[in-house]
Amino acid sequence: MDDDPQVDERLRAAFEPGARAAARIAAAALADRAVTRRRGWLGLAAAAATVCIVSALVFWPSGPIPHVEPAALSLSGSLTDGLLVVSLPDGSVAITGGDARQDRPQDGFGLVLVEGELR
Amino acid sequence: MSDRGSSVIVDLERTIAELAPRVLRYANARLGDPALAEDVAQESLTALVRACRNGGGPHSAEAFVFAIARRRAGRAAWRRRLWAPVELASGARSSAPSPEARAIARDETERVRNALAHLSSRDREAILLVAVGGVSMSDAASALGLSISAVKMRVSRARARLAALLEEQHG
Repeated sequence: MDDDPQVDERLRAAFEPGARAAARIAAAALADRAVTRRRGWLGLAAAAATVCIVSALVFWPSGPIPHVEPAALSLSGSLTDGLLVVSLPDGSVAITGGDARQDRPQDGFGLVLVEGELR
Repeated sequence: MSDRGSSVIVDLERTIAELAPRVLRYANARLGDPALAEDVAQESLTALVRACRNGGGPHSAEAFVFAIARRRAGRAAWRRRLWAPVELASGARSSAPSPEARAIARDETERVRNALAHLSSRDREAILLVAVGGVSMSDAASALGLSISAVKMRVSRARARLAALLEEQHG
């Protein structure tokens, strides 16, 4: 074999660690201490960001489509001479029929005839 | 467990003290980052301590530690490549040596590192284990999963090439 002690010597010298560093890792290994991750915060930040992005991508599109529950409301009224008179929950009275297809205030309850005729 | 394994447990402190500078030097040569090299060396030695204390002392402490160091250095190098842009952007490379220390060590270390970069990865791995880590041929063969003669051939080829490259750089 082509032994060249000079080459080996140069290699060792180029990467020689400090004695204190060697003693430090020997002591840490014997104490069975876990290595302190100097880049741990980067890993944690990346993991947190990944979880957020994946959660958003998975849960946001698959979420339930919001819809409005129909109001459980029953109304009663009377039909007289082609006019519908209905008492509304807020205590007012709406009258529709004939030319008046709707009777509703700006806000609150009202009545709208969507289609057809009253008989 | 073999008799040799038992002796490793008995002489664990001495074994660790003897291996620490060698595995650290090897990791340093592989990674070129003292902080990362310390992590890799410490992990490898800790694995040996745990194996011995759990009653599973390896046949050869040297082959065991360097096989682990080799794998972890490989992974650390990959991780570093992935993180390098982020670390550069965030200025997180505070564990790097000081500018003065770098300046003193730069010339010779850089020359050797450049010469090593010209070797094939297989030859480089073999010479780093044997010449830098001081691992015996048989243990290097075990760590690399090769025959002893294959390791001898790679080391011999690497030495000859390195000698020529270093001579070139010097001239």
